[in-house]
Amino acid sequence: MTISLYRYRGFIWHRAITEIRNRYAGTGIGVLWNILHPLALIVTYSLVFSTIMSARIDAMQGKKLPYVVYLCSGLFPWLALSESIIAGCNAFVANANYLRKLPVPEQVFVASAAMSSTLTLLLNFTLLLCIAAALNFTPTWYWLLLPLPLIALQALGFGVGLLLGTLNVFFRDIAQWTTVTLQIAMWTLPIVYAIKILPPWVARLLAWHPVMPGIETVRALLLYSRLPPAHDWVAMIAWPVGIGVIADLVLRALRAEIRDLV
Amino acid sequence: MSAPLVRAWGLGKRYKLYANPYARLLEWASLGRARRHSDFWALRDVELELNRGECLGIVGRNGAGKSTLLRLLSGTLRPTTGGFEISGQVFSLLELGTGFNAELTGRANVQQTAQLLGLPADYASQHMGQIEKFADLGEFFDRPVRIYSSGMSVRLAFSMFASFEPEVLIVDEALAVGDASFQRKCYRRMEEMIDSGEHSVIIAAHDTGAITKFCDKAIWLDGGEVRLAGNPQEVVQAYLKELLVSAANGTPAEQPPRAFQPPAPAAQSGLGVPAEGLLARSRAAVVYPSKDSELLGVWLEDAAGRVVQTVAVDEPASICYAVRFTAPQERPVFGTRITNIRGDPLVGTNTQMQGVVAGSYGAGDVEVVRWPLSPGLGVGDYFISCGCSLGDDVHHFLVREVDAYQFSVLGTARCSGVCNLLDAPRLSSRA
Repeated sequence: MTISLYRYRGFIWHRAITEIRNRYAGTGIGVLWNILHPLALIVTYSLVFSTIMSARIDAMQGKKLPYVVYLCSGLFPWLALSESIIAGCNAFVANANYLRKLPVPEQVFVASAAMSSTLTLLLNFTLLLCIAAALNFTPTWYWLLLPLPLIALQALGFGVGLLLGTLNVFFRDIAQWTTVTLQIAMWTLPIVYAIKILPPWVARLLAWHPVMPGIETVRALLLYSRLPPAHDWVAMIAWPVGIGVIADLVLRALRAEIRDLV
Repeated sequence: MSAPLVRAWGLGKRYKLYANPYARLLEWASLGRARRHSDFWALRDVELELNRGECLGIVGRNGAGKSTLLRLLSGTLRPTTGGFEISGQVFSLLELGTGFNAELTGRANVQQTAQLLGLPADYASQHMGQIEKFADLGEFFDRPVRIYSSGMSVRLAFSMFASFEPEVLIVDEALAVGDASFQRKCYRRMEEMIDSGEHSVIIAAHDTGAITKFCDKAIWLDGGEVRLAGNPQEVVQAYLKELLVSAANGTPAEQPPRAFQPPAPAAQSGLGVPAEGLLARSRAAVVYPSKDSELLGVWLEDAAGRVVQTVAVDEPASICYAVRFTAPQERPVFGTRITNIRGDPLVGTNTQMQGVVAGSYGAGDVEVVRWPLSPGLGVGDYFISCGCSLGDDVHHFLVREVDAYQFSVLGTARCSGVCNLLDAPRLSSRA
């Protein structure tokens, strides 16, 4: 699988760039929307959660963390991840035109979907770092490690997207279920709220969640300027690798039939 | 003798048909023990061998497995049984457009397709000039493919694949969409590729003329199996013959509606109508029946008067039909017309124009009309219209069947254009 992805790197990269560039094609300010959208998101969440629901935020005020930075450090990776999963889930059906006519390896389309949301994520994170710097965060060397958890999370998104995308060819309901499930899942995780408001046993359980080790790592590096515990690193890498292997096996088993159905 | 460029053995493709997605889910949940699908074999046991510099033609009706075979060879479907080997790159021009992105320009699509085919990064750029020139799309080359006509998409696709020079080029029916001059260009390009001895071409076409002309080998697929393989001339002839016969015995849905059924031709053999070998009514037929007369059958005869199914390009032949009158008629006029596949009338004439006067007929009388046909029709498919009208008003038809009978002229092409009025030239130096 990796070999064919490497062989098609040119296409994956090119398509991801085109995707981002064309997303707002025909609009007046074009590429600027890529920044305005996350900005609007940040402002909305910050206003809602820091004024109306101020009680919840107190949990963090002890550490004197600006809520905005806390929020974005979890929200941006999550949004990119769910974008990768949803796009991956639809990748085969949406690219049926190519799959029917050209002998392209299937996973290339999932990879290019994941790549384009990764690029958006990196863009958003640059924005976030600027905001953090403006809010008197001193940049540290730990920030340089930030791409690692982000890429691990996106690798997870690729794996899950590939798995669901393969199954979605056979059961088209899966794409719909995925969208709904991801929306709900966000609120079950300490992304917009602090982990401290959860009961301790839930917090312990969350350490095993596929997404949390990555997000915790981002927060450790960005907010607290320290390395996360070793088990976070292990879990952060083990999840994408494990799911990637399963997705690869499923794809191999069903590959012959995918082309029959798209 | 080098190894064949393309080799396939026992190639088969089965589709699993499920009544609904849940049937599949049940089957999966039971780990395959509860069988919920029915099998459909689109292709079975196909053996192929093709050397460099050869052209393979595939004929067969819609649904015979032509596209499945081509898609298997091009790698967009995976075989259920058997396998194949192609020592080199295969590009295929399947259906229309070959996976273009409608929003991108022609040029950008060439780039993208090259990437999708896993070609090196600068490959498309190197060939761009050649592709642009061959496709001859003018400024459209830099416009989005969305605004292309289907003919233009095919031009772009063919130019691209031919310029990339794959070891094996697969061409589906797609070419039929392009205009005649572009088709000509495509065939010339394919000829060059074949003649270079480096490439092979596989074509599937309804245009059986192209297959007899270009191919070194042909296979006829029928119901997913190879019915006949070998010499293109023989394969095409057998295929066309079968087409005509089966159209005659076709299901009701395939036949045009008719007001009344003519009697079975075999019963008429005593009236000068051959017992078998009648041309089948084509699907393009427009039939105007009447209660005054009926057409008993249309057939072809060669120079020796034998009933034939096809006409040889250099041989004279006759178009024959029999009319039975159900009411007395005085000096009716018999007419006929030959149209080519594009609908151009090549010739239309009748007994009056030819200075032939018919006699008087009583109810139940049968007249057999034979129209001698000089050699001159080009290789291809033609339609015959025939009818009979009143002597004092040729536009008042007693019976008329338009484009109702199809036949093919086979052999070596002697001309381009609609028909040949010229014989083989004499050269003074060779006299």
